[in-house]
Amino acid sequence: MYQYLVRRLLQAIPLLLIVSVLLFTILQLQPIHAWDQLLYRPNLTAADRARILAYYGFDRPAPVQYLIWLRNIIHFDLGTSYFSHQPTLELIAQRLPNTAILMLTAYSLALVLAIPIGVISAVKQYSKFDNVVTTGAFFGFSIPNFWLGLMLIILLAVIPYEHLGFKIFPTSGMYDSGSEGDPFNLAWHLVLPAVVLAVQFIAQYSRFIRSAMLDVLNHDFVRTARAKGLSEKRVVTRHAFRNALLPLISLMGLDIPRLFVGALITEQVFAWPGMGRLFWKAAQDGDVQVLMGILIVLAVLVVLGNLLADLAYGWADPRVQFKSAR
Amino acid sequence: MIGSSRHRWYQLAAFAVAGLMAGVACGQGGGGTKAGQPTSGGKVTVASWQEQDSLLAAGITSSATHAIGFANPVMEGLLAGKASADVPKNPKISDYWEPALATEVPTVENGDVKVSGTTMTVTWKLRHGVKWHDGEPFTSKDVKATFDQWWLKFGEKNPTPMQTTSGWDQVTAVDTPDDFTAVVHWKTTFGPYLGFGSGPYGIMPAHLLEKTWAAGGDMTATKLQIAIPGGFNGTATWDKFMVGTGPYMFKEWVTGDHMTLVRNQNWWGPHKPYLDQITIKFEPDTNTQLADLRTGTIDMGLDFRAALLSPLSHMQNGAIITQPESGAEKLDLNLHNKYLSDINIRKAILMGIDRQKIIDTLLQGKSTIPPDSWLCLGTGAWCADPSIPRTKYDPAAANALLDQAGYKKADSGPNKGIRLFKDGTPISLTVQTTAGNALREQQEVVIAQDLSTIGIQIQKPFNNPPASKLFGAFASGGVLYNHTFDMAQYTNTYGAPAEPDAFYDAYVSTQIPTKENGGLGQNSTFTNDPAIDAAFKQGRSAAKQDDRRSAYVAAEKRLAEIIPEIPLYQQLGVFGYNKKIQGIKFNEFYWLNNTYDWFVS
Amino acid sequence: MISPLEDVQGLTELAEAPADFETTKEIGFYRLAFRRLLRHRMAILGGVCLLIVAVAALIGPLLLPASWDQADLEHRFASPAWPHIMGTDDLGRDIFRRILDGGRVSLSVGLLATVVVITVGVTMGTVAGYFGGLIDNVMMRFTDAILAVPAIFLLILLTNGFGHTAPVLILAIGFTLWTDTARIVRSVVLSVREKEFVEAARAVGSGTPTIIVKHVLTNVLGPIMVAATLTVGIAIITESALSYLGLGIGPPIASWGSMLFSAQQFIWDAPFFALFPGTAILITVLSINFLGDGLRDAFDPRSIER
Repeated sequence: MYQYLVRRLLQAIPLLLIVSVLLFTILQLQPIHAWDQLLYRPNLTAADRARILAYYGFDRPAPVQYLIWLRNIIHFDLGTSYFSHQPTLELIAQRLPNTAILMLTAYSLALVLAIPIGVISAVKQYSKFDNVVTTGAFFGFSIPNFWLGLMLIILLAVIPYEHLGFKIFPTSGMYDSGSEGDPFNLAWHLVLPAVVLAVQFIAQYSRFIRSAMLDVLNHDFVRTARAKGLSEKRVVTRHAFRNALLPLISLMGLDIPRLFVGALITEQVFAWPGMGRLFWKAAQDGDVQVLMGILIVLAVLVVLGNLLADLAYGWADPRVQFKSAR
Repeated sequence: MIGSSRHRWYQLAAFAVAGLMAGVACGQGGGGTKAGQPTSGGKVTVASWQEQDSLLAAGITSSATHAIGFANPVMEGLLAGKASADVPKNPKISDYWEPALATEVPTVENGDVKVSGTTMTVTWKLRHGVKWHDGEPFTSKDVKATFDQWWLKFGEKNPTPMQTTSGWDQVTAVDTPDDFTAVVHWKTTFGPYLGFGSGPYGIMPAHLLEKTWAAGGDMTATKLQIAIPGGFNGTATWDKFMVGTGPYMFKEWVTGDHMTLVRNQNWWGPHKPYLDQITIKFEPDTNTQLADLRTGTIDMGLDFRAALLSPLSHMQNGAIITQPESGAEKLDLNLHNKYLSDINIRKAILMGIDRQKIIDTLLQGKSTIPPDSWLCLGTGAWCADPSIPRTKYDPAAANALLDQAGYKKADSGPNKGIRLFKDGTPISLTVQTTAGNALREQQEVVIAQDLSTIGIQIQKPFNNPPASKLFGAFASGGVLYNHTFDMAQYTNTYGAPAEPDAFYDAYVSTQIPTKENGGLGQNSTFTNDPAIDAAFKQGRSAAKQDDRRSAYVAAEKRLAEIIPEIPLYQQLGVFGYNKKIQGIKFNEFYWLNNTYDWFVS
Repeated sequence: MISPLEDVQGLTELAEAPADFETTKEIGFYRLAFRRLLRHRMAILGGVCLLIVAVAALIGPLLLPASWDQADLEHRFASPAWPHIMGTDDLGRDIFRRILDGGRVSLSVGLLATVVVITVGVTMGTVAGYFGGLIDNVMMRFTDAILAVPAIFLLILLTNGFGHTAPVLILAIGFTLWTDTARIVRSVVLSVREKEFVEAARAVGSGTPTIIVKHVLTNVLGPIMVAATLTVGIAIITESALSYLGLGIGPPIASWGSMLFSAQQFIWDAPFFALFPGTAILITVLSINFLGDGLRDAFDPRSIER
């Protein structure tokens, strides 16, 4: 197992290198440059311009800039923002926890709801519950989550405010002014964004669990368990469920990028101060160092997530041996 | 100085506001509130949608209007911007300023400014008994250190990325004959001298600058130990602290969330500031600000103007300030475009857009159409001249003019209804503005429609670039400065009160960005007229107001003849606040400018 | 965004399943699938709905008066009433008409992006599966690299970099979605190739590549059809998300996503603004998903057991 782990980690390095080259190239094509803002000054003179460009190191050719960036990465230096003069790592450290809170809450909500729903749908296949849930799942994958966010804001904040004078849920941000750090205030602010982010996962996972359970329930070993006279409940929970869980675990690992995507959009809808907004602002400003820093951190998290999922799968399924490559 | 901050606003106006409550509108320019008995105590929360990246964005390494506003209660200058309501009728330039760290406004008339030949000296008489927030006394040393930091110490090789040295580089020396007098020597007779060292963050503390210089000189990289009793205590670079002399002291800045300012008990002013604390809450979504204002979660919202004003249910305790500004929203015309190079087409466009309709519907009637040259609006009133023409909306006349010029509308075919140019091609133009700005997009649609009725086609889709691309530097392919546009819509305003010199870069022919001149300048329209060049040069180099005025009036007249731009409406700033806050007087450039007088009832 | 293509594994199995191709040919594999599809009620409902949306988007704007697309500043924010059944927007334009115009944009971007996905996916999958070895390895690393960066981040950079025009949008969205299709095609090619090598060892020199192609194509067509259908839905949602963020095709071209962006600006003035474009997206994508689900069941020989 350790050999597998080491091998996977080593494989991740060339992968991340490819990712970094790809991203760097794309960023070079951006028409939005940090220096556009830095040079937009009243009555700028030629000397001012040269001075500012030299200060930020913009006058070097692209491949050189890439190599410098690479060298810095190895020393865990993700660069510095051209605007706030803060190191990228510091900026990410400030914002990542906010996104993490959102993502973890939404994801936990999704699992807590999807797994039982999926299991019950499979066990009670074709029942009313199953049909309702299946239709709900289809709605869940088809609804654009930013629209869902907007509609919830309208229904639970705008309209009640207009007619009743108060908002049922807040429309944006993590805390009310003056309540920073208050966990109840945070929870109140988390409800809508977490629900919006969770919806597509609930829909997808419940369907997935359902079909995985159905597959497993039809397998021979389950028939054997039933034949042996074990109670249906035991059959379901001990044997079928554990096996149905396996594909879910590997799916979870693959879903980390989607979680970030959903988070970025949700953060925009609810003005949530997370990584998504940080990225967005950096993209608008052309703050290349921050952009590269964020993207690499994300790529690393994604790769680690996949690795963890594979390991978890291996642990959960005793049949899996970490030997051959796929 | 051109208000670069404005452009940054539009870049961030992706979440432009929905509306404002039309409570009891507190009238134009100033928004004074009823006089009550000021009581000490209380807190005010102000919301802003533009959080600065660094506190040096208050005009040092960059200029962000909101950041300048936040610095205002903390960091003072030699002079402070006078509240718009306090500016007298028929003001002189010096009437826009009032003494702060200096005790009088230096002018030629009162003898503080002496001109000898082509040089001049400005004597600043400084205030006694002022202390920096960390306890150090304020003296003329601080004035000298400020000028040193901007130019005298480092010249072009400044370790700190100061945003520009333009203007500062005209200073040759600063003498300090005693602790409360500073004499600035200018190598030219520099008209805009009042703004240098004035306004928020006008003067920087010498004791901290000296420490910075000793450590290499980069304000953004040197960490200093700061101890403000009652305020900020810690180690930070200049990006993250402010040590000033103002009525409020910097306490903390939690990025992404809020900034706190607390009362300065030792402020030099006529009375101690009333409020205990001012909190600035960063809420990037103006819709939320609106909602929070109504629920009382915040007490004031800054700069709601970006999209549309629409009357909502009357807020019980609300007041609005709509502040007409010293600039206009306008359409730059690319004079090298084959169609736009014909003055008749430009005149027809000017007559063909129903600007009043736009103002009445999209701006709730809260603005006005500027004269054909919008050079002297708002605080520029001192150089405004009634003889400048004001073209009215007249599509019939526009049609007639174009017909006369020989551009007939095509009767049939793909170009039906569009006028054909001398070479047979249809008169078809592009219009661009900053992407993601709802109000501007609406205006584009209306403009396109109005122009199609006079036979000029606007291409669709509009292909609006993001703000950084529109205003980007010549070298990065920025649209305006590479002249890759036909018509471009945006706003330009003064950067400092009463200074039309801000537009020198926009109209003088040497400021057309080209490869040859290193891409410098902001003359996007290709305006190239010797009379205009001479007028701006004179405006910059004359110290006497009358001379400056005649220069700018000449510039306006000529600009109104050439029409390199179509002024759409005078730009306006919109602020909303809870009536419980009293004593507010606004200044267009420096928000939060009389916080020492604010109190809550 | 979301991916009902989570079942790549399932679709791959689907592709490899009909081993006994010759027998099923008699009954007409595709005829059988089609008949199964017809029995799937929701899929038919989805298909019909989709057809209605497509037809409305195509011809609707031609039937409505042109003036409804013009700004009418006196009648902004009108509530839904006859003749403006969905009301008017912030410039007085008829919302219903803009929804139909937006439909054109969304559907065409969705379809064209899917074409890109299928083309690139099939090509890459075939090349990787056929040549195997190093080329396969490199390509798989490349797809992993693309997957390591969450799609929307990549899309933001690509649209900023290359411009916010329709071709860029289509290519960029296609670029982020081709990997699943490539995986499916690749596994089919690999498994068919293995079988063919075994048979070729027995037979005497018949055109191996042609046989592979024939077998691959016939096995892969079903799952590809399912994947393509579902991809259209994902592409439509992605395009609206980008337009909502302000990165789509600009004004005054209507797009469901950009209408939602405006709706957020005017949320206090006219809350109902957001209702219509979002519902349009929901109905369209829901129909696509039902149809896709039906297709998936139709092509799945195991579905007879269910």
